[in-house]
Amino acid sequence: MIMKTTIKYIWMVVIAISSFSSCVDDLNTLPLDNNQLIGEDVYQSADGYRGVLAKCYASLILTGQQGGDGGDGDVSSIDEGYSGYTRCLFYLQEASTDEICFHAGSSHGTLSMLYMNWDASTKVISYPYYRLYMAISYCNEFLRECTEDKLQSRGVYEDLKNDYVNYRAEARFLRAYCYSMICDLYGSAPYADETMEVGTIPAQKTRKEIYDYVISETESLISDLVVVGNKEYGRIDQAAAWFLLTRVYLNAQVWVGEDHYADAYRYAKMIIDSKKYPLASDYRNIFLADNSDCSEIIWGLEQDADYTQGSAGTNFLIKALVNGSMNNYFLTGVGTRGWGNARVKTQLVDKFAASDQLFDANDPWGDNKMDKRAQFFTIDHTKNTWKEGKDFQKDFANGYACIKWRNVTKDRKELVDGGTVYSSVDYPAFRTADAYLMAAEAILRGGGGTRSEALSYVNEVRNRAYLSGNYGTSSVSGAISDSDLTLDFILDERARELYTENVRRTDLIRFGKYTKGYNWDWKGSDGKAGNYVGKDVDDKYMLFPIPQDEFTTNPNLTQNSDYTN
Amino acid sequence: MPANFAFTEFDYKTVESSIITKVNLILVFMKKLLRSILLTLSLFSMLSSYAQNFTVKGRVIDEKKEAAIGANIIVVGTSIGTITDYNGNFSISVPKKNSILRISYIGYQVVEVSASSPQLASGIILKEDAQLLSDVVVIGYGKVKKSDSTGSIQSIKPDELNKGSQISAQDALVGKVAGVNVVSASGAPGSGATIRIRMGSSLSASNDPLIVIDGVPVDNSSINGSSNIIGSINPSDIESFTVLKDASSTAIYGSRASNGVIIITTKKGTSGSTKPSVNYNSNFTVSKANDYVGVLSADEYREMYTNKSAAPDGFELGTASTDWQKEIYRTAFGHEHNASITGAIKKMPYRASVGYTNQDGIIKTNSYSRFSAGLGLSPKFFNKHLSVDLNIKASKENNDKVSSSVVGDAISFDPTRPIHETYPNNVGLGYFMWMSGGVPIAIAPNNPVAELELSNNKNEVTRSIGNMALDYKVHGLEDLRFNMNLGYDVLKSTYDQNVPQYAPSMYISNQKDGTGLAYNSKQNKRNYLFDLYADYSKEFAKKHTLNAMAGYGWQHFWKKYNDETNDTEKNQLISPSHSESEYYLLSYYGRVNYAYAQKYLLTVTFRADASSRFSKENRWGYFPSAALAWRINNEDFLANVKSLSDLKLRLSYGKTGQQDITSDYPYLSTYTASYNEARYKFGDTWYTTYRPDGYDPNIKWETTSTYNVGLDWGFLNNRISGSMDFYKRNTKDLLNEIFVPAGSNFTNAINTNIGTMENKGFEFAINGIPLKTKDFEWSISANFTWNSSKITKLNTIDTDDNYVKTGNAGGTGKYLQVHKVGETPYTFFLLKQAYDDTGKPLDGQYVAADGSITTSEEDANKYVTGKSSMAPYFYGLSTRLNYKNWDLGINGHGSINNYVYNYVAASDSYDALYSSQGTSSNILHSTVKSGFTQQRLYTDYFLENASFFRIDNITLGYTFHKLWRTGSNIRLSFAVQNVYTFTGYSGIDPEIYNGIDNNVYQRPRVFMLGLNLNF
Repeated sequence: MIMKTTIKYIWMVVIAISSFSSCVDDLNTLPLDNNQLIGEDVYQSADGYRGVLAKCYASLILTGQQGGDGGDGDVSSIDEGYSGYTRCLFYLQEASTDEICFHAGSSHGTLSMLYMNWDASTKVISYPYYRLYMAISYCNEFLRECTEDKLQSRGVYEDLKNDYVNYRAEARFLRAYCYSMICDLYGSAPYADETMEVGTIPAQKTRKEIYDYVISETESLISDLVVVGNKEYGRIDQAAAWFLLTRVYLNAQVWVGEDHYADAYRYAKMIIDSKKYPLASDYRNIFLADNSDCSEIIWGLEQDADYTQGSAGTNFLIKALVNGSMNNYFLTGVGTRGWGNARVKTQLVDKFAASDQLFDANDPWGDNKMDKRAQFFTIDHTKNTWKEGKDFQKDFANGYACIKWRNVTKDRKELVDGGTVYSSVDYPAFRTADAYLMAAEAILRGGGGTRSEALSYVNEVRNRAYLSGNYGTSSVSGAISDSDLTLDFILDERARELYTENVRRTDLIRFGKYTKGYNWDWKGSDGKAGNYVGKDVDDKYMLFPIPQDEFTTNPNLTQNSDYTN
Repeated sequence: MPANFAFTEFDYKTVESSIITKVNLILVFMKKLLRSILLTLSLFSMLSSYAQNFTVKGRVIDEKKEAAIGANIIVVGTSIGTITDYNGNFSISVPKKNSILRISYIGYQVVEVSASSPQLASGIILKEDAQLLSDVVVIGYGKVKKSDSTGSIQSIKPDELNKGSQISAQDALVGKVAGVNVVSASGAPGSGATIRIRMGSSLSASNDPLIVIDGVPVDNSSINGSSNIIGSINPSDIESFTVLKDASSTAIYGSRASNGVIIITTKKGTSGSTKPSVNYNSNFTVSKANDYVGVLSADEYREMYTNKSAAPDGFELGTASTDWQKEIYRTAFGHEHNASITGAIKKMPYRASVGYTNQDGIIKTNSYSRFSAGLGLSPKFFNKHLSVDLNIKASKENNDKVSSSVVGDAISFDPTRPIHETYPNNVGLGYFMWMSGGVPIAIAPNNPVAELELSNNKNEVTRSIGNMALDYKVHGLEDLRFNMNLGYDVLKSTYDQNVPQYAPSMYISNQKDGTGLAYNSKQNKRNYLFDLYADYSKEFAKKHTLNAMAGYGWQHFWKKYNDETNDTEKNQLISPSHSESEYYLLSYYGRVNYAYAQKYLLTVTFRADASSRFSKENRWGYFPSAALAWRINNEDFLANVKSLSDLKLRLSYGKTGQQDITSDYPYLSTYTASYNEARYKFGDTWYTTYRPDGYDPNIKWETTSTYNVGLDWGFLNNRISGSMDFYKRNTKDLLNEIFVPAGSNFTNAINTNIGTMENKGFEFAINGIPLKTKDFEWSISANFTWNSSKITKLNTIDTDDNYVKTGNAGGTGKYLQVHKVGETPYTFFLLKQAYDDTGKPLDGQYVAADGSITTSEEDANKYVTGKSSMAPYFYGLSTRLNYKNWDLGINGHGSINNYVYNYVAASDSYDALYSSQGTSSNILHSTVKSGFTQQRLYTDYFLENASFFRIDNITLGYTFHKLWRTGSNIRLSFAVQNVYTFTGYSGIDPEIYNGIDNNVYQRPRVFMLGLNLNF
């Protein structure tokens, strides 16, 4: 009996001891799901590297790793749909201007954009901020891992030796682009690059320092980019760097008080003269589902109904701007899935001839309009974004809808019957018409070139819009004469050409018309009845404040002047 | 008739016509039953009183020869009885000379003597109930005599008689334990509950207590599709709950003990009897909605719409008159059956049980059922040196769920619209839906009746929990024993959602084109446990009692999840999603208990825990504790104070930890591969993208230090007893989700160790038997808790303006609360409503910080209200009255100064009358009162003090003893659950744990008829 028990006792001790030793190793767990990997698994193949670079690009158009509306967003504390770059930028660059008015989303601060009375706690201001820094962090990580040494040690150098220099330059370009937007939106802001370890608290750079960094970084990476015209679909080449430099130099006077119009002109002309990105033959084709082969798009952020799903990107531009029932009048390409909460303000509509403003149910594409860019839906809608005698109404029928984004093909067909759930319209981040207009503007601002050259650039864009001149046989020419060509005309022309393309606020500021001197529906208002006529606002609104949440965690920061946090 | 007063209070006023007949029937039946029972009883007693012949006299004393005052004497087999007088003397008439007298006295063993025994004259000596004195409570890795425990521990046995309707195990804890707040999530049967012991010590990490079932700590991560972590446990299998509150008692569970521990012990076989004893109980319930949200009737709506809506000409209201709330609610029925058999086969005690619960929800199509089975065997071997304790429990829960959105949809759906409507091409499947120009509107309210009747949401949870404990007393050294516990908890949960093609909801969700939905998800969990400890107990020189325990534990937690989203033709709509992860916990622990002369008690515990969730450097956490107790009543100077039966002062200090955060690999740098829907194309190739994930390489344990002072006391043989505790708790390295500096990590918010929090509280519990006579016993228990919780550090930088937003009211980032330094967690952060001279709120106007009136709803104009959803005071009351074979129990609980934001009212406005999407919606009477033209989601106008007292249940029962032999009895009972709630809150129900009233599934009122049979 005793014997038996002793054996049992020994057995127990054996179990115990054996489990003690094996169990300490148990603590070194690694992820089990095949979608969660450690770095060494990712970087063991060339596709892994490409996958991380692809994420750097994708982070400016997609919202997370799962696609669709739900799941695994990149920017964890923001409602995923709102965290998409082009969407959150839209609230800042469009909803605060003479172009767009939102009838919904007030819990995010879209009403503050309408009234121009935001502060550091306004949520929507933090969305592009965190999104841009997220993209910067991804680029930094790629640059840390994509070095010759690491490629060699991981045995993937041979596979990547022809590409990795380009890849690095592209990651640096994307990062420089993000900093240029931070410079534009927030001015002075924190700075982080690949030399800093994860977890390092970034120090703040002045707006001038960020501007200088963007210029020097972009100029120095051009030579490592793919030669203009030789890019793969989805990536960029040197023209994108030229475009970025054009835009930043053009704004240098406002951003840092430096006159760089000559540089802006020089880079814009390089794009035009390269002839690799000629204007699309028809303005309307730039915003359609098969625009992936649109010649004019220098940098397109990809959208595909099946492979890049999300509530941001062009899916947002289509659905937020149209209601489901509009699909009865024209093909939205998304069936009746529209949300319809964004409307255009009267100032934008009035930039077009009165005869071009209304929607004609018999001509849903506006073929009979002079200016093919006047794409509004007006049936059952008031032009006014207000109701007489009423406070601001969240009424989707107040204001025309913008219908320039359509998820249909050039031959005016849906991708599938009834439209797809998500959009296949690539987002044109940089396109040639903008380069033409920037070149003309730089010339008028004294950057070199001649007025006739500037006029030819503007008329190139206008003829294309009217399908006149080289672009068609329209009986009405879009061309203007030299006497019409003024800076103010360029500002209006930019609205006509680029509305809803996320440049409006920057343009208005550059022309000195954002806070004062030009007012639009509800600007500076309290939303009360009758107060829809715009008023001047404080000049501090030319910059957005650094989001308040940053001040709970980064001790190195100072808020933009005149904002408290 | 006493039977009636319990339910005349609520009467039929609130009971609607459909149920009146049913309740009436039950009442009439009960009345008849009771009347006949009473009649029979009185007949019996009359008969017996006619037969009485002999009078006997006697005296009852205790072992110290003191008189037992008020002892009960009953003539067995009759209803004749009396009690002793001041000198312990009694006189009673007996029918036969050798009738048996049963003498009972609280705290003493029951004695039966013959009426002719000579003891009667010399004094019947009662023995102290040793069982009572040595009452043991279960603690971590062992048991301790209640009198020897040094920690703040409360053990409760679920009151079998006075329980009302309990579907889930945690229902038995509601209002029963000081410092423990249990708030059920909703009125859906089988839904989970929030359990908080001492308010919880964490912010972002879990605040759920550790639940240990028969020695197996269960994983408290959420179960796919189910909100109820212990829903699989059949309440009628539970022997006791032991709640460990202070660090001295919880620290033995180390890293998971910061929020307290609840040890659930299930019923076991008894070694005594070989004859099997059988219990069968069942009940039948009728449930009914308590109240409806006050909305306009169809006619009121038409008038309001005409006057106030902004609808364009041409938009027509419907001609129907539909009360949507009445359409979704129903009178629901349920029944429950439990059977168990207990006994011993060849000295091996066993207990086997089966249970079946089937309860319909008060919202149509909602129903819950659970089948459970349990087997417990406790054989002993080697001359009782080796005890084996084997427990296996298995269960299957079936939950036909309903989308909680139907509650809100029924409130707001336009009452002028019909339920049914026909559209071409089968669109809507015969139900009304919102159309514009013949096309379904994508952003529109969902017809709640169609949702209930067409959408099929099914959750099935199959689970088995079991353990085998081997306890071996070493031969020749019996003071030493080894205990090995092997345990498992295996679970599979599936959730299926099926919505047919063309259902109205399929145009406002999913593909938004009528495509049907067949969603299926599956979760598997497998958790294993190995524990081994040695325990040594010894008494030295009669005065020193020593107990030492040391052990080792290993636990593995694994879970896997995957889902599929298809249309009804099995075409994939989006890629299946999946996840799989695991973690391990490794522990060494030990405890020493030392007692000197039964007066001075010392407990020291220590635990070292390693979690695979942290890096090698931070993996180990050390959690010590110490406690002292002084049994003052055993001191000589109190020896003569007879009325004092217990007085114990307890002091303790200890550290506990927390590691329960969502991620199993928070310290690791990982990459997430994209699903097919989130790829990016280079050239012709769609690439899977890899995203670096945010991580904190330095993440580690959150630690909580707790000081506790407690006093246990009892008077008059513990006829009145109770305890009080004061505690103070500091949590540091709070696991908290905070923003990270932009550009420093791959996320903008991370779980990291930051912040400190201070909790303190006072708990008071009292149990007493104010009245006890021959036929009558009245017992009462009450507990009261005061808690205070304050954040003392929160962010890297704390300034006056810094806070972390929380309390999302749903949808997109509508935060109503903040965590802020110096404030209670979950403090409401709102706009200060401006009022006109008459006290009417000014629509959309608020008082800014500088006192001016503003219309801006930005955070800058909000203020920290100082009011939190966390209740600072809560209390529970229960009482029971026994009269002969009758029993009446009442339970209630309440809280004081908990705040609730009436989001149901806040999200409503005149604006809702018409949406420019082309839909109309109903509004609330409260909106007519406020006159708000737009949603005012952040105004303190809707913040209400939600103090309440709820009468949880009233139960009336009658027991028939000795049905066909001794020990066989049957009890019939009638109970009402959720009887009445006293509150000033304007919404349906003030008891909402997170303080945001957002269309919750209301708790029904339940009428229950029960039967309990033992033989």
